[in-house]
Amino acid sequence: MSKRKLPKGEETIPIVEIEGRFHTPQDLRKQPYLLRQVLGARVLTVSEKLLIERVRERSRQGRERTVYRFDRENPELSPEDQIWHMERRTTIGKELLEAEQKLLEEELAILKETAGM
Amino acid sequence: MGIFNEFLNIMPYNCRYCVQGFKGMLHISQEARNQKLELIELQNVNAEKEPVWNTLTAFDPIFVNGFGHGNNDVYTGDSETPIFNSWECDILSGRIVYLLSCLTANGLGPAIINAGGIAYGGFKISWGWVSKDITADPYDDWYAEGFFRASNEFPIALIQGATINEAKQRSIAVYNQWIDIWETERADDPDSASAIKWLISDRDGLVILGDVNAVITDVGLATSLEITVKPPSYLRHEQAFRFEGILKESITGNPLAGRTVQIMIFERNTPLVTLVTNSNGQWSCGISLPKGFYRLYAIFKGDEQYRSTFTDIYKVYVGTTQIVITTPPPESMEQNEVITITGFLREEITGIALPNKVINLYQAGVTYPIGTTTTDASGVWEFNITYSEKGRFSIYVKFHEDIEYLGSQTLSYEIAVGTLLSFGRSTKANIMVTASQMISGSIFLAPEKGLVYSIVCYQQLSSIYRGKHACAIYRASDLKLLGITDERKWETGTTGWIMFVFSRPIPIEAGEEYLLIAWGTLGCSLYFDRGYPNRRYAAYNYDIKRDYPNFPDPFIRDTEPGMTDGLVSIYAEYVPAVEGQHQLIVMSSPELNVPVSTNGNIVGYTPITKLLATGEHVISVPEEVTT
Repeated sequence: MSKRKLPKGEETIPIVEIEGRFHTPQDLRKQPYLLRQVLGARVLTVSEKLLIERVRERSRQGRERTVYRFDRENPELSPEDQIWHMERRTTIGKELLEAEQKLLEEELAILKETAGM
Repeated sequence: MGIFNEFLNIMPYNCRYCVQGFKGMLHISQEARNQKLELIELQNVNAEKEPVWNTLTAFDPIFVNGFGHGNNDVYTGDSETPIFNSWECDILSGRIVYLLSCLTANGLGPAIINAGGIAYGGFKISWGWVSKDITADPYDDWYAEGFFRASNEFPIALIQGATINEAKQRSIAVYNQWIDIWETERADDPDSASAIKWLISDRDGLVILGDVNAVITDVGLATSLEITVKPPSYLRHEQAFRFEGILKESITGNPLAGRTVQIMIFERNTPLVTLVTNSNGQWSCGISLPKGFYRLYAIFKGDEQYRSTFTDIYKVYVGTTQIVITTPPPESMEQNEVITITGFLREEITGIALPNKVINLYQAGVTYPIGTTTTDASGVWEFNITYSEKGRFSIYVKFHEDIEYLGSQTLSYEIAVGTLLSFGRSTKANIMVTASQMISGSIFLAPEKGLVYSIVCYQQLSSIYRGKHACAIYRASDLKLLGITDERKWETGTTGWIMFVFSRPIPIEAGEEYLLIAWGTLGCSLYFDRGYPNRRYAAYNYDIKRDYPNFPDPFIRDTEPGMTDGLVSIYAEYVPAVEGQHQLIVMSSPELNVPVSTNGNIVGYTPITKLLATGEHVISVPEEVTT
């Protein structure tokens, strides 16, 4: 069975906010102490700003795909549409924020695994 | 409770997002066939409320699987109109439902259980997926495969005999399997994060309600109904025919004696005939039907030993007709010119000519015939048409139902009488803008007094959608609605100038500004150019699904700068008023079609607009009308 690893490009996407600064997994790996603190934290507060920045950065890298949905009113959301809704905290935007938060939690779990914690 | 082992699969195809869903659903249907379930697929235009509800009533399947657009309270079909909603889902009482749609677990799901549904599976989130080719079979699509395999696992598990709870666990296991694939062997794909995000969201959004131990299958032996004498496709009124077949055990092929077989008409609850199979499993009956269109089938509803089964549906046309135009009217003619249109009337399917039948000629907006004739020995009819006034008129020919035959009518044909002038923009603009989420148009100055007969606009109609569209004219000074054109429907994609005709002409005044606008269902777009401040009138406030085709009156425009700058490719066609001529407008309420006479001669029926020369005229209508 092959080992889980962070999806390609996610090393350069912010995963945590400390004292108003965003840190990517790449940043954290350069600061083992900080990495241990983050991965060992019981609760990590995740701001909407961080979640939006993650989508914006992924979009900038051309890795945020259009999502299709069986939604009557908005069946197709491009990366730009997703950011638009998230920034305005529309009903759709809240769903998108929740989905991004779950991905962040999944990536933290992978980071923990790969760090041997 | 619905009948075990019977499965209705609702499969819309109309919108571009449904194409991939449709192809995904085919895998569920295939598993139902493998497991020898009785499968009913309602595809494309049949994936709509009426066929779905009729099918549920007729065949009573226990399991309903559907995909398509939805929201908290609504699940929609092919045309994106509701099939079930929270306040109208009692038809799902006694059934198990799985909906691959958005958000239905928040309202519709609980409503189904409250209405007596056994169990529900669906999503509290907007089910989303990523795709490489949105029209491909998802199982062949690098990105979409995991999403559809995971969702399909729920109905497939039920088909294979799992409980609702087991189906949910199996579905979640497949989501997890695909998340793992993207986190391991596909982790180097640049889009792996996107795929993982939506797989997690969908997995966590799956909800089950009701009896989690419910199943859709039982242990009876599978049966089949073999047809030996099919109903004919065409019959005369009350002409007798035979419908025969054999009931068998599916695997051994042994005939089943003494079992009840019912002959049903689709969309009706009560059996047309109830029969008992003889010692050879045979059933047979003679039937005659009054004129109409029928869909017949035979059904064995099952018993303690055997599962239910039913036949294909046979279409039977009884006394239906077809009216055909062989010489259609020209697109234009001169005032007082006489043109001839011809055609014939025949039986549908057989093509046999129908002589001595009364044929009527109609003009849109006038329900009384403007001409009447009779078919000759070869079923041929003919009308001579002349117009004394300029304008654009829409005509059609109709055969009304009689004792033996059902009625039929031709398409509508537009005729321009004389030369029509135009005002507005008759050149193609460059910016395409939706006409479905936004009503929009532009204001134009009417150069002279006259009557507007039609609006023409440049549109792109998407081939992915079939839809409806119409235009309207407003007075710009108070944005009062003056008239709505006929509604057009499109079946295939096209781009170009499209004409919409008013059923009665709309008077315009010289020097007055008018707003010409267009509106349509999903897939309809207009063209405009910027650089024309305050000439564009547009509004996002009207919900196409809720409001169309009720054009707002008065029109309330959005006044943001981006919404007011522009000139739309749209123009009106009109006939100028002639010096010494005056418009006579006669309306009636609540009844229409009241005959109007000038100087003792009937000139038309209300609502009517006529031109009269300067002088004295006697205008009369009956004191009393009977309707």
